[in-house]
Amino acid sequence: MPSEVDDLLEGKRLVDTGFPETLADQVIGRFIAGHLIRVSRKSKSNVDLEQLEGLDEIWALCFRKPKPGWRVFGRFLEKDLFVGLRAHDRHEFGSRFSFSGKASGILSDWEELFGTIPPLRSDKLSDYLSGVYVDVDEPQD
Amino acid sequence: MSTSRKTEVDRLAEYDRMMLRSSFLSLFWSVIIERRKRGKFMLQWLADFIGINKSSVSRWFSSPTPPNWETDTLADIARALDLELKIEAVERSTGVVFSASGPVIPQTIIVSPTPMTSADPAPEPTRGNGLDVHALVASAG
Repeated sequence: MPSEVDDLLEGKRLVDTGFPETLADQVIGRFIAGHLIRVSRKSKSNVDLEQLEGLDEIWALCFRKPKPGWRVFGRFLEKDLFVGLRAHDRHEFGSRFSFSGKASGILSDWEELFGTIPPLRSDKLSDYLSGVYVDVDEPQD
Repeated sequence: MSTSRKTEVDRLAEYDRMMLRSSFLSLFWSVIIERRKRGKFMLQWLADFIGINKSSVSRWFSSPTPPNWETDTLADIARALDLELKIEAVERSTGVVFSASGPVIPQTIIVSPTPMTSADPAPEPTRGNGLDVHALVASAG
């Protein structure tokens, strides 16, 4: 993650954001450890990781705390390697469908870091993640 | 100890508690996923075995924070899934692994980079230091 996002998560921003927050740390910790995370590729709510529909391989790690909830947006460079590029609180983009205006910034951040290297693309969630996860788009009993 | 330091300690303690809870949750979910691959596995069956509502079981795996199970509940879930839980602890400062029956002695295999000659002093075999394996490797050629 870029230093701006790192500083945010560590609570080093001058403006009080509510970070550091254990629930946010825990989402990252579970992702890194390969523990159970809840994932959606159809922008369902109540997940830890979601792919934003209608955008080019933009994913978001979702923190419900600190309020109003935060998202770290980024892309997968390879399996299990999520590159978080920007963080926004939910006030900044309102509904989940109004994020597309910020998507171009994510794409330009990616291009700056990786040039023409494309993000990971696949139809299968298992190509993005090893470890343990719940695909909430699949019916659960 | 300063207030900010105490806050940092509290935060780390809370993170450790969350990650331990997450370990158990993730462990059981990984078993359930494998069982589903082998055949039908219903959360209802797990709920019935333990004697709680199915909605409670579903909530375990869908809540943003892992459940804070009592040890007896862990045992009940393990029994329901026909699992023997093996508990190990790693001492962070030394890397020594402990089990419930004491420290786990690693069985190190030592391979000599050059063939041993009769001039080499005979190693003193002791339990668990791999010297018996060393002698076997050296004499095999």
